[in-house]
Amino acid sequence: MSLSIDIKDWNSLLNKLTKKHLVYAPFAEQKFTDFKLIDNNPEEIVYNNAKTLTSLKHFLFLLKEKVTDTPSAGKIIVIGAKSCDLAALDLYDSVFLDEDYPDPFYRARRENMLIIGTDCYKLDKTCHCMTYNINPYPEKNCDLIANRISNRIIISGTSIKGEEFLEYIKKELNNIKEASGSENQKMKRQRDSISKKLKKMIRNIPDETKTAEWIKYSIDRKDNIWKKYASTCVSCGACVTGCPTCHCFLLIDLPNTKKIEKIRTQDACQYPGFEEVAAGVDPLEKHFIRFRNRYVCKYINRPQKYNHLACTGCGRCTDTCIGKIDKNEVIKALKK
Amino acid sequence: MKDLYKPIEVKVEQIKNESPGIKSYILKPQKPNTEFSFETGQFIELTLPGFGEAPFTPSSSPFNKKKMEVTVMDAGYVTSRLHKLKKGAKLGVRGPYGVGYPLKEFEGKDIIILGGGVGLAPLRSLLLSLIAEKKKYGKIMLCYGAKTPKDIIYKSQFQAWKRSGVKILRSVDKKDGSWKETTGVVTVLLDKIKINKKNTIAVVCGPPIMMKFGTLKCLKIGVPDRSIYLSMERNMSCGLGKCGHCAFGPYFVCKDGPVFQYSKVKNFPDVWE
Ligand code: SF4
Ligand code: SF4
Ligand code: FES
Repeated sequence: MSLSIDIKDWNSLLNKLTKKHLVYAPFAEQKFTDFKLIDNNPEEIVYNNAKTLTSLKHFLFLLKEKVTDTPSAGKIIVIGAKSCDLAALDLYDSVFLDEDYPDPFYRARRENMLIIGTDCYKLDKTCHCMTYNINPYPEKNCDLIANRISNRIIISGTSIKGEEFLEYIKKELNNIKEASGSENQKMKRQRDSISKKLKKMIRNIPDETKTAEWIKYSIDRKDNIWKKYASTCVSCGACVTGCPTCHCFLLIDLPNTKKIEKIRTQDACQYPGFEEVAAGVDPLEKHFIRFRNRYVCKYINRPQKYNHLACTGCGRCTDTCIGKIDKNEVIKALKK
Repeated sequence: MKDLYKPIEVKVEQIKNESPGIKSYILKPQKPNTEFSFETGQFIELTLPGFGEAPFTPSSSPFNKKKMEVTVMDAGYVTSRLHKLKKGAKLGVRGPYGVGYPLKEFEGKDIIILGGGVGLAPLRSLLLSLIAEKKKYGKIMLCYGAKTPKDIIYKSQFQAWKRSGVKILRSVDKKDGSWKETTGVVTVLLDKIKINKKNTIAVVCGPPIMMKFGTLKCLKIGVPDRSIYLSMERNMSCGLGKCGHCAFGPYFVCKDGPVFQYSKVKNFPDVWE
């Protein structure tokens, strides 16, 4: 069942929630939107644009975290998670909640996070989730789905936590209705039309099977293509930082000789020396091989290991690249 | 819940000079009644408090649970600092991690242990494990190479291994006046042994170039690729299969290795890096 809530009531509820929890939502920044804390300004939330500048992973996997402490995480609510970021949680869960070494820091954050997904009613130039069979609306890994239809929020639960939240809403607000047939219709029409538009946009992008095949074939055969595209890459790692699936990290010992304290900090295979060993050997020493590694990892190695593609088609790597490298252009150039 | 990132405290009980640039450290848990437990070939992460962490495969026998020995070559940031330590220093140990040598598979078979330089460290642990249960295995042959006679590590222990029935062949790249054994790259030692192709296991550990030529030579003398086991070295941080530093094809060396059957990895472009 979906509830239909007047935006004013919804906003007052959000204001109330912010007194108790950290509540994040997408707000407009110059050319994009990004997650920010709601701070008496829920009327400025941008619900149904495409992805935010930074991905959902930053709520679960901090830039820096002291991992020799006891894990603790306050409850947070994130509104406006997009389908591409939600899909990426499959990989994150495989890595950080694996059977052998479930990570208590990740788990604490994951369990204390209520995720409200929203549909994409707008697209960015680089969006290509559907290339990998991810629809531009939430279908998994969130607790609720909320969309703004005119001046109302239509919200439904997709997990036990989400259903509980709906019950809470019902207690808090008087004026709620069940979403009407026409509201549901409107949402459906939005989904259909955006999917249609996106399908057209991505028609020339090879799917994951072709991509993996071409990358495999290219190794040692198409070094010149890799070198050409790598030539404007400055190894800044922005593609990795923005990527919702990239999760490599480094443990650093704090300069405290009395007590062992370790910080986990995000790392990137694109940084020189990422795989270098003490004696100096480095499988990623050559720049074009390091550049290629991101592609090999995403389309071949991680899928082989975890059964999940490590690209969800969000397009952020292309958006953020200061060398103006378009990931999909690289893949197309590898065509057999 | 298990502490994934927090090491247990250990004390350096003894430091041994093995060769110029290589030292062994005998470690003992600080907390009384704590034991080390690992399988031969698994590795640990050793923390130098306030400084950093590096992976080492213990060189001691897993049957000795009271103490653990690691052998360290002065080669980088953490190891050069480790070399400056004095007896009594406190360190941290996380682990053990990864999968070690599949001893079950080795039972009833002849075993060639091919090592170069400090690569003998994990092999020594293996050797001690094999010797401890010698009846389970066939012939044990240790082929070891070092740069010069001075660079040979565990010098005092070869005699004891020999007495336990291990066939020992050694070579140095460059001999000095007193050297009476083989001179040349370690792979020439493999020409000196006869193997039963169907029933021989080879275990290889050493610098990348030696691993490469050692493996190719094993194949040449007839050891099948699935019977060759490599101890891979990669950059490591977490040891848990999460941080990505040790990626090796679809595998993580820290979790799926560090020991790999050659047949499983032979097609990776970076197998010898
Ligand atoms: S890639 Fe898809 S899910 Fe992500 S923002 Fe774009 S349309 Fe939305
Ligand atoms: S590789 Fe690029 S398009 Fe794919 S998920 Fe990462 S940032 Fe998005
Ligand atoms: S050392 Fe972190 S994944 Fe292997």
